[in-house]
Amino acid sequence: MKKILFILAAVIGLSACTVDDSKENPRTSDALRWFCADLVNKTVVNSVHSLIGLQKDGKDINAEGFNMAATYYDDRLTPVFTRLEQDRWRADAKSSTIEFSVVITRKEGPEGRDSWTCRDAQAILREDSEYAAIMNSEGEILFDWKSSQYISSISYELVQTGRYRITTYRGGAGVDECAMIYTDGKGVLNILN
Amino acid sequence: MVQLPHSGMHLLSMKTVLKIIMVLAAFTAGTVVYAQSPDGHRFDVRISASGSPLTASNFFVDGPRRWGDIAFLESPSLAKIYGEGHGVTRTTGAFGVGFDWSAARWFSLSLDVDVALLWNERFDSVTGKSKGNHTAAAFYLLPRLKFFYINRGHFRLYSSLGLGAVKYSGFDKLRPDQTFRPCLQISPLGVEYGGRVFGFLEAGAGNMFSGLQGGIGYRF
Repeated sequence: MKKILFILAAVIGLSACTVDDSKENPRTSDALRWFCADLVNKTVVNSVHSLIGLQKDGKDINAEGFNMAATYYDDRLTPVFTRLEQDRWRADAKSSTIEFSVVITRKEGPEGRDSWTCRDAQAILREDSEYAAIMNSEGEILFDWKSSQYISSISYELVQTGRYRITTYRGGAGVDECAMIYTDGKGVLNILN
Repeated sequence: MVQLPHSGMHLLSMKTVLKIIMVLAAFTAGTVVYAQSPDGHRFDVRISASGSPLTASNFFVDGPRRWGDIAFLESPSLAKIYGEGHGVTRTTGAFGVGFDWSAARWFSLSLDVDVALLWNERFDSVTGKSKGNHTAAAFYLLPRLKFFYINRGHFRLYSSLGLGAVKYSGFDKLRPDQTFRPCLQISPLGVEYGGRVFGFLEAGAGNMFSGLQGGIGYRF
C-alpha cells in the first residue's frame, strides 16, 4: 500500500510540474520587418508592376487622359493609374484598410527594360480603431533591372533601391518608427526608436 | 488574394465520433462473454492524475494548425505584433475519475471523466507590463476499451484504447466552433497492482495525456 501511495504521489507531483516552456513576445524585429515589407509590396511594388503589366498588355498608358485601375501583382490592393504627363503617372488606391498614393515616372531603357522611379509614396493603414501605420518614401525609390548570368542565358529582375519610413501606432500613440531600406531589392529594417 | 486557410478543421465530426463509439460498444457487447475478475469483483472506481496534455497545451498557446498554414502565411497584423505576449505555460495535467466494468477476464469497458487546467502569464508586448494569468480548462469524456494480457491475483497487465470527446473552455486561440473536439488516447502498457484497493500506472499518448497516468482505485 505504501508503494502504491508513493507511486501515486510521484505521478501527481510530476504532472503538476509539467511545463510548456515556449514563451512568446510577438513584437519582434522579424515580425516588424515582415509587416513593413508586406506594406511596401502591396502598395509601391504592386503599383509599379501593375503599370508595367498594363503596358505589356498593350494599353497606351501614355495616352492623353489615361485612367485605369489594374492589379497584376497583389490583388489585395488595386491602384488606379492617372496619367499626369508624358511618362509620369499617379497611382491611388483605397481599400477598407489602406489609403495609398504614389507618383511614378518612367525612363526608357534598352530592350524594353525601362527603369521606374517612385516619389511621394504615402500609405495609411488602419487595421481597426486601435492600430495604424503610416508609410512615407524618403527621396526617390528607383526600380531598375538586375541581371543574373547563367550558363546559357541572362535573366533580369526588377528590383528597388530606396528608403521608406514607417511609423506604427496603437491607440493613437506612436509605437515603433522604422526605416525599411532596399538596396538592389534586398530589404533591411532599422528600428529607429 | 493571399488568404490564410480556414484553420477550423476537425479530423472527424462529432457525429462520426459518436457513431464510432456506438459501433465499438455494440461490437463489444455482442462478442464478449461476461465473466467476473478472478477475485469476483465486477466494477471499480479510480482516481487518476496524468502527464502533459500536449494537444491542449498547443491549442492554448498557438491555436489549431494544419497542413498548408506555412505555405499560405500572411504577414503579421499590427494587432498580433502589439497584442499580448505570454510566458511559460503550466498545466496540472489531466486528473479525474474513471469507472470500469469488467466484462470478461481479459476485457473491461471503462469511462474516464477528466479535467486539465492550463495557465500562463500574459503581458503587454509594448509596455511589458503583466496583465495577469490566463487560465483555461479542458474537459475530457473518454470511453475506453481495456485488454488484459495478465490478470492474475493482485497483478494485471493491460493495454487500452480510448475514443471520446474533449471540450476546451477558456482557450482564447480557439474559435467557439473549435472548442468541442474528438479525443483519442492510446495506452500500450498499463499495470494494476492490488486487491480491493489497487494502484495503477500506464504509459500512453493521445489528446488527454502524453507520458504517464497513475492513480488509485477501489474494486467492488
